Amino acid sequence: MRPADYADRQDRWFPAVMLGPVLVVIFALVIAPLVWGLRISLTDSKMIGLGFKDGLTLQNYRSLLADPDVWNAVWVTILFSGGTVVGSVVLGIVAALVLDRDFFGRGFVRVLVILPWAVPHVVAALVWQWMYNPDFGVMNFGLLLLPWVTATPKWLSDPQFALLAIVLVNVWKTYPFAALLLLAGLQTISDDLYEASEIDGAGPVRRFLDITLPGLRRVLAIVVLLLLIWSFGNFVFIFLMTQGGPAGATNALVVHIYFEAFRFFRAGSAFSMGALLLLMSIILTSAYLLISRVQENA
Amino acid sequence: MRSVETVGPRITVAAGRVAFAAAVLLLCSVGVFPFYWMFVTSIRPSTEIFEFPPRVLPSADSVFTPYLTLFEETGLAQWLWNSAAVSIATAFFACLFGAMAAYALSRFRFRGREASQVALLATQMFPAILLALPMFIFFAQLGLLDSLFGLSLAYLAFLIPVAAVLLKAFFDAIPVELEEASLIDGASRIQTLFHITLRLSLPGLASTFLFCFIISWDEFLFARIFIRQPDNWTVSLGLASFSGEFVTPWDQVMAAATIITLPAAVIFLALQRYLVRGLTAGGIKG
Repeated sequence: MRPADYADRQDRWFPAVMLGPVLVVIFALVIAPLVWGLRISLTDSKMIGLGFKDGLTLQNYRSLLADPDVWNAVWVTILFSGGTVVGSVVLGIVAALVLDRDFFGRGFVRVLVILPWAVPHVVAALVWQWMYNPDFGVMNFGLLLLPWVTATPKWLSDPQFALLAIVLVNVWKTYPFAALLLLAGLQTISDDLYEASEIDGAGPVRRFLDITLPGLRRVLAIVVLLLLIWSFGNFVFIFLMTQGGPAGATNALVVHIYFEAFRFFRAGSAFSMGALLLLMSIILTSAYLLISRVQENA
Repeated sequence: MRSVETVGPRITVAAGRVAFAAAVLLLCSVGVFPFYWMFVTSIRPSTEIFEFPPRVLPSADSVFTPYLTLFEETGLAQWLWNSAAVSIATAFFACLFGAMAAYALSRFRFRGREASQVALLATQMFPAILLALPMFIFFAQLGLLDSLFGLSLAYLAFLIPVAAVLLKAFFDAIPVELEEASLIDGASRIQTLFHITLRLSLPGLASTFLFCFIISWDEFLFARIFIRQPDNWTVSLGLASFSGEFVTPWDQVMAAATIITLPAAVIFLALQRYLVRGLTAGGIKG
């Protein structure tokens, strides 16, 4: 009996009842807020209530496009996400290649590699903040052990290093995810390919470039997109470690929106920036859905 | 000639071994060091914390007083209780409603099925702040701000879809034939659901529950926006409140961080096998 025949015998109301709560939740707590947010972005609301006295205006969007702070925020968001992806994927590939081999203690190493993923975000933020401490931090202590290092950065309070410092934390937190996904990808590549190319005299680097990387292409695409999507929305690290500072150096869009709404109480303006973030997320999400669909059907 | 031929590969093999060992060592220390540092700082006598160079090894006279101070002088016990209550309630209802939706999506073919699935996936992808702001206005009108019930409701908005997607995969793995046999034997559909499907997917339900639990345990942004009174703080808020004090009591902060990390880390390691599926299904990150 095919699923379709099986379904034909069921009452029509059953799936509707079962899906009901989810649909209500998605509508009331996701779609309605999103639409409401867009509606607010067309007013100069100060976030006081549900009613709008003023008419619609595009003013927020006009000032948004002319606001250098917003473009700085977009740029910081791109740097933060891009930096995270590069670091996380490189470290993830190394970890995946290591874990793909059979060696004594592999299970243990695997657990250690996953650990950063397990730590709550707020904990990670505070532990790294302590390690980055310019006067007593272990990070600068470690740097000074290197023979060629004489001066140490002030990390989170130095505009030149703050973003790098936070990207490093995010890389640390996300690379286990990249590693596990890439490891699963590695295990789908047939050993025959490697053996054949070894017989042809290809070295390890050649084999990596010609077999491993092409074999990982799809998994890589998914890893990159998910990391981008998550980094776009990452709030905790920046909010707790630098509050967007110093001098806007880490002021990503999410943090900028938060301050616009809750420090300056400009809801309309905050939501227009939200629309910008929404647009960026929709593009990435569509790409992700497309790729994961293709993979499912393949 | 012969010796040259064998020496070359031998050197390469040795170099490969060294590189491999170095990579393993690097990976382990990158992963573990911050945890080590967190714990070592938490048991250091407060007189030794502000020293440079820092002592890398634990101090000879390690102390556990920061842990006691936390429970005696801060609201940590209350925050742990709040977080546990919110996380358990959220995980329970996410699994309940998620399982209902997952069952319908897994077992029935109906109009709008594809659309529902895409909606479930897509809703998890939006940055949380996009939902948090308008929800804040709604919840203010409904009097749900500064309440753990309201916070849990907000978490359900993104955790029910996560649970539904996760559970659908588990239900899909159970053969329809088992259910059909039970229906033919005269069991009602509800009986079949409870006795066959749910019983067989217990591991799936358990891991989905734990997954939702740690996401709630970890969450910060919604809590920060919705909750005000210290009595209602979750562990994330309580811990974050330490940072930015004039002189941060790092031993206490790290002690609190250790306590908060423990349940999450234990659950994570227990869930290892499901992690990738879980996180690709649920795009939730702080």
